[in-house]
Order: sequence, then C-alpha cells, then structure tokens
Amino acid sequence: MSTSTFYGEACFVACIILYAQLVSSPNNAFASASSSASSSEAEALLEWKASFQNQTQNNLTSWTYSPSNSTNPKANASPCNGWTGISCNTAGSVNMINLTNSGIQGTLHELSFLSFPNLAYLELSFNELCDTIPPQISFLPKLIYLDLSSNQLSGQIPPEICLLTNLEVLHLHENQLNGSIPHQISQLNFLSELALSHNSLEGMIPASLSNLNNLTSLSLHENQLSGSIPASLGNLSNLTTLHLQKNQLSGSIPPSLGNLTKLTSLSLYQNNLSGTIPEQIGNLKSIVFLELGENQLNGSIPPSIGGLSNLVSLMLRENQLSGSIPQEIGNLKKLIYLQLDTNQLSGHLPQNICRGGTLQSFTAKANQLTGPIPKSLKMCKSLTSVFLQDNHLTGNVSEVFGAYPNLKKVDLSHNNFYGEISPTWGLCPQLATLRIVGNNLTGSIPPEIGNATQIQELNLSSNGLVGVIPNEIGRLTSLQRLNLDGNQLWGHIPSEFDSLKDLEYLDLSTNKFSGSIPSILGDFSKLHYLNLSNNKFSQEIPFQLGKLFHLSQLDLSHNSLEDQIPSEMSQMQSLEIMNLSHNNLSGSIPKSFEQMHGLVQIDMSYNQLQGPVPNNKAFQDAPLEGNEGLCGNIAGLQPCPSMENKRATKKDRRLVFIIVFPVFETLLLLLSFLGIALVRKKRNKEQDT
Amino acid sequence: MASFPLSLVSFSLTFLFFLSPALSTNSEGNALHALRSRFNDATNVLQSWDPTLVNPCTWFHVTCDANNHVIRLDLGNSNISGSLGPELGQLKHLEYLELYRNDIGGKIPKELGNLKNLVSMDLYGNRFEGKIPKSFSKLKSLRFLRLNNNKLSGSIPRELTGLSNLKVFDVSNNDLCGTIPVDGPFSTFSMESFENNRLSGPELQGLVPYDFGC
Repeated sequence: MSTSTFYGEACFVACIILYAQLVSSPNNAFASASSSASSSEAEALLEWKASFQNQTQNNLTSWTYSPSNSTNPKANASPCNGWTGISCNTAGSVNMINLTNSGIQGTLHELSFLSFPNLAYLELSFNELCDTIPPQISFLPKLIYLDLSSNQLSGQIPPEICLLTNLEVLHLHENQLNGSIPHQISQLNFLSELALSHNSLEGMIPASLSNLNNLTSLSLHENQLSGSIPASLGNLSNLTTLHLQKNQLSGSIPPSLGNLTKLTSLSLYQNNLSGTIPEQIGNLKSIVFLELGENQLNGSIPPSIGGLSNLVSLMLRENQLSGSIPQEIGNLKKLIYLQLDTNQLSGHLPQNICRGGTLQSFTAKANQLTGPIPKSLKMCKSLTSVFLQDNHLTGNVSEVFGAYPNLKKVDLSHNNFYGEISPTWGLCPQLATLRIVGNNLTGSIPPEIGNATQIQELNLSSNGLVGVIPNEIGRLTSLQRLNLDGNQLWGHIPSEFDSLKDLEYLDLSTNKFSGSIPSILGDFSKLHYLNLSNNKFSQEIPFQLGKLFHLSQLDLSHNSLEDQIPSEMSQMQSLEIMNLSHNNLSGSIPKSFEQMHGLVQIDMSYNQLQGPVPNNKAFQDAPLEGNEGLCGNIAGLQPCPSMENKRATKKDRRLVFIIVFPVFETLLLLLSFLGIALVRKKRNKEQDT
Repeated sequence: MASFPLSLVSFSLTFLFFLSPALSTNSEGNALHALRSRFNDATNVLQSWDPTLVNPCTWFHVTCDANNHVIRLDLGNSNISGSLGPELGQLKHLEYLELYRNDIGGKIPKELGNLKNLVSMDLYGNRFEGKIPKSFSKLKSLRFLRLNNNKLSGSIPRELTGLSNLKVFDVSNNDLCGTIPVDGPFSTFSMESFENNRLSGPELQGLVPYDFGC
C-alpha cells in the first residue's frame, strides 16, 4: 500500500512538471483572439480539417461557415449547427466529437486541443490517423472518453495523458504505438476501461496500474510486453476483463489474481508463463472465460477449478500440465468449451463430463490419458466436436457413444479402443469428420454409416476391420477423403462408389480387396491421390483412369493387375508419382507416356513389361527391374533392337559419312589413278608404234 | 449525460472482448479466413472453415503437413465467385493451389509469387483479368501452371523462363499479347498452350523489341 502511495505522489509530481513544461512550450496552440468560444472551436475544427488529405475533406462538407450572413460569416459560425459528428452542451460549446469511421487521413497535430475546454467525448476510431499522439491532448480538462483505436498512430503513449484527470475510458488499441506503457497512466483515478491492445508496446506492465480502483477492463493483449504479471493487479477488485494474451510475459501467474472476484474473462494465452496454475484461481467465482493455453505452465490442474460454476470456456491447451484432470471438472454445468490438448496429462477423463448437457467442443488430444470414455458422454446431446486422438484411452468404442444431433467432428485415432464401429454414427446427421485411425477395431463397417450423409472425411485406417465395403457408402455423396487402408477388408469396390463425385483422396491400400478396378473411378474429377496398392485387384487397369486430370499420385502396386497399360493414362497430365510395380502387367509401356510432363517418380518394376521405355526424364532413375524385355537407353537396360534400327538411321547416316564416304573416295581415287595409268599406257603404246 | 452511451459502448466492447479471445492464433488460418471473406460461396463448400479452431488443418479442402502447415488448397469446381486477395501469399508452405473452374474474378494477386514451395497452380476456367504477375518468376518449385480460360491480358512475363521446374504451362483462351518466350522450359511447351490469344508468335531474339505491339 505504501508503494502505491509513493507511486501516486511521484506521478502527481511528475504530472505537475510535465504540465509546466507543456505550458511553457512554444508549440502551444492557444485560443485565437476571437470573442466567442464557439467560433474559436469552429476555427480549430476547420484548421484541423484543412490539414487532412484531400479526399477526406469531402466527408466533412457540413463543416463550413454559414453562408447566409456574408458581412460577418465568422460570427455566425457554429459547429453546433449540424456539423457532422459534433455535439454541443446547452451553452453552445462542443462537448462531443464523434468521427468514427469517417475516412480521415491526417494527424492530430493540427488539432488545437486548447480550444475545446468542454470536450468530454472524443471518438476518432477506425480512421487513418497517423504520426504521434501529441502531448497537448492533455489540454482537454473535461475529457471523459478518448478513443483513438484502429488508426495508424505511432510513437509512444505521451505520459502527459495523466493530466486527463476525468478520463474514464482510454482506447488506444490497434495502432502502431511503441515504447513502454507510461506508469503515469496510474494517475487516472476514474479510469474504468484501459485498452492498449494490438500495438507494439514493450517493457513491463507497470505495477502501479493497481491504483486504478475503478478499472473494470484491462486489455493489453497482442503487444510485446515482457516481465511478470504484477501481483498488485490482484487489487483491482472491480476488474471484469483481464486480457494479456499474445505477449512475452514470463514468470508465474500471481495467486493474488484469485482476489478478482468480479472477473469474468481471464486471458493469458500465448505467453511464456511458467510455474503452476495457482489454486486460488478457484476463487474467481464470476469467471466465464479462463484461457491459459500456449504457455509453459506445469504441475497439475487445481481441483478448485471445478468450483467455477459459471465457467463456459476452459482453455489450457499446449502447456506442460501433468497429473490427472481433476474429476471436479465434471461439476462445471455451464461448460461449453473444454480444451486440454497437447499437455502431459495422465489418468482418466472426468467421469461426469457434460453433466449440464452444454458441452460442445471437447478436446483432450495429445496427452497420456488412460481409461475409458466417460459414460456421461453418451447422452451429451450438445456435442459438436470431440478430439481425443493420441492418448492411451481404452474401452469398447461401440458402446460409449450415442446419437448426437449436432456432432460434426470426431477423432479417436491412435488410442487403444476395441470393439466394432457403432451403427449409431449413422444417427449423427451433421457428422462431417469421423476418424478412428490406429486402434484395435474389429468387425465390419456398418451399412448404417451411410445415413450420415454429411460425412466429408471418413478415416478408419490401421485397424482390424473385416468384411466388405457396404454399398451404402455410396450415400455419402459429400465424401472428400476416404481412408480404409491397413485393414482386412475384402470383396469388390461397390459400384455405388460412382456417386462419390467429390472424392479428392482415396486410400484403400493394404487390404484384401479383389475384382477389377472399377472404371467409375475415372469420374472422380477432383481426385488427386489414389492408392489401391497391396490388395488383390486383378484384370486390366481401366483406361477411364486417364480422365483423372488432377491426379497427382497413383499407386496400384502389389496387386495382380494384368494386360497392357492403357495409353489413355497419359492424359493424367498432373500426375507426378506413379507406382505400378509388382503386378502382372504385360506389353509395352505406352509411348504416349512421353507426354506426361509432370512425372517425377515412376516405379514399374516386377511386371512382365517389354519393349522400349518411353523417352521421359522420369524413367531415367526409375526402378524397372524384374521385367522381361524392357529396353532403352537407360542404365541397366539393354538397348532396343528396333530402336537401334530407328535410332541407327541417324547413327547409320553418321557411319555412312564417317566410313563409307572416305572408302568410296579412296576407291574413286584408286580408280581414277588406274584410269589415268591405263590411258597413259595406251598413249605410250600408241606413241611406240 | 454521457453515461448512457458510455455504458452502451462499454457493454458492446465487453461483448467484443468476450469474442476476441476465441479467435485463432494461427496466421495461416487467418489468411484463409480473409480469403473466405472475399469469396461468394454459393454451395457452402467453406462451411467447415471455422476461424476459432487452433489451425485450419481440420477444415475441408485444406490439407496440412505433419507440422500443421497448409500444403494444399483444393477448391476446384466449387461454384465460388468473388476475388482473391494478397493474404494467400502468407501460406508459405503451400504446394498445390487448386482454384480451377469457378467464377473468380479480379486480378491475380502478385503476392502469389511469395509461395516458394508451390508445385501446382491451377487458376484455369475463371474470370481472372489483368496481367500475369512478374512475381511468378519467384515460384522456383512450380511444375504446373495453368491459367487458361480466363480474361488475362498483357504479355507473358519473360521472367517466367527462369522457372526451370515448369513442366506444364497453359495460358490458352485469354487475351494475352506480345511474343511467346522461347527460353528455358518454354522450348518444351506445345503451341496449344498459347492458342486463342492475341500473341504475335515466338519471340525473335535480338531482332525486335520483346513487348512489340502489346
């Protein structure tokens, strides 16, 4: 207490000094010599307007001297008569300037604050004011409300602001203010709202802010504030909102914050806070939003949190919290959002969760939780999303979930669940995502799942599912991603798949599917990934797959596919990766594959392919072994005999030039020598006779 | 006198403060959310795009990598109109930008040139206008660039010849003018990639100015 008095006195002295400095400063804009207060206010406003960038002046066309009396227009000028955004008191002096969202591009420096002795309300938010906040703003003795938020103000918050002794609301959020929070703000005894969020403020939160006994809302979020949260903030007994999220605050959460019994929203997320969550948090009887996520908090979650009966949102994710989740959390009857994910929590989930029937979003993923799904979740009709993946939860998954009218997303992947997939999932009319990857599920896929027609992602991979794909899957016409890989499913791909026109990603690999690859797959025009590898698909690759213009990756390897590779596949112009290895494909690789310019990776090894390898760069490093008669100009392959003939025409021509012509020429020469020799001999003979 | 509006303001502000902590901290999610606000989504394909979630990786038509960075945006043939914005350039890990066959108009934002991991950009079949951004020359990983069937004008930036990984290029059915580059990957593209424009044929190096008649 003595510290705060000391601060108070020090600040008061500082304020006096600042005031003296300001008054003696040559930059003062004193009121003009004009007689009426109203005309000097008009002048000040018009001077200010004149300093704006040209286009904004159009918004303030009403700011003008009255044209009716031309002899002395200034005498009749009154901003109280219909000037946009200006209101006056009964004495005709401006007491309110409200120019929010008025397209003002300018600064505050040309505004003569001294001209407005009665201004109580200054609202300039959502404009494009730039440059600094002039310290002369402190010359508004009656100012109660100051809102400069959502502009482009820069520089530091002037400490002279402490002279605005009547100020109740100070909004400077969403600007580019820098420097520290001046401790002089603590002098503003009547301040009830302080919003400095969304700036570039740094330094520590002044402990003297605890002097602001009337403060109900303190918003400092989204800055670069550092240091600890001052314990003295626990003295702000009227505080309802404390928002310090997205800063670089460190140290522990002060237990004294538990004294803020009127606090409804406490947001400290995304800082560097460490230490434990103090159990005094349980004293925040009014709390509705408690958000401590994305810090380095350790230790256990205090059970006293279970006493916060008004709690709607509890967000503790991405910390290093350990120990069990207190069972008392099941007592929170108004809880809507429960986010405990990405911690090191162990033990069981609270048994009475969703007791009040209000829980919508429940995530506890990425912890080390064990034990069963709480029975109370079965009747939790309010559920919209449940994320419990990456834990060690166990239990029979077919019994623990019910029918949820609002459930949109479920992920139970990578746990130890067993049992069958419940047909009740079909009774979730809004279900969009169902993921139960990597568990010990058995039994077959229930046909009732086709009733959940809104499903867009269905991932049941890496389980022990058996049986066939039910035809009813064709009813999931919104399906975009279907993963059934890594199970023991058998049978054919149902023809009803042809209605799954929006499919983007299809993975049926590593199962026991058989029969032919249906040609209808070629109609999935948005498909970018198709993996049917490691199955028993047989017969030929349907040429209709060539219609998959946007397919990026195709894996048909490790099947029993036979016959020729259809040349239409070269129409897959977006294909980058193709794996056809380990099949019984025969014939030659279509020459048209030379047109697949996007190909980067190819594997055609272990087939019965023969003939020339197409002239495509992707084949250069491609695994092609285990085939019968592939040939080509590639390392490890024989050069092609027919190719040699064709290629050799070029080579031959060269050979012709290099070998044959010189031979021919020498022959010619020899002949000509012979010829000459013969002629000479004849002549000699003739001469002799 | 000012107390009533004051209390009204502080109530509404308190309400706002209740909402604001719930918004995502994820910049990629925020970028996609901003993109969504520019779109008219006639068939509600973006319904799952919930900005209050931790990241956009559970949003449909969005694919993330193991580090929760967006690598694919698949919105082809989705009845979307509206325009694009610079925020798309913030998806630094994006590899596949699939916006083909919609009704998206306006200019192609130059910020798309910041997507240095982009492998495939399919903007074909829309109403894009204006020029092909020169900044596309920064897309060093680009393999597929399909801008055909739009209303693009101006010339094909010569800088695109530096995209050594570019394998598929289609600007047919636009309003492009000037000459067709011949260097780098452009030597491999067929003439169909350029048809139905106002292009004046292949670039004649050293003889006439490049942007001749454009």
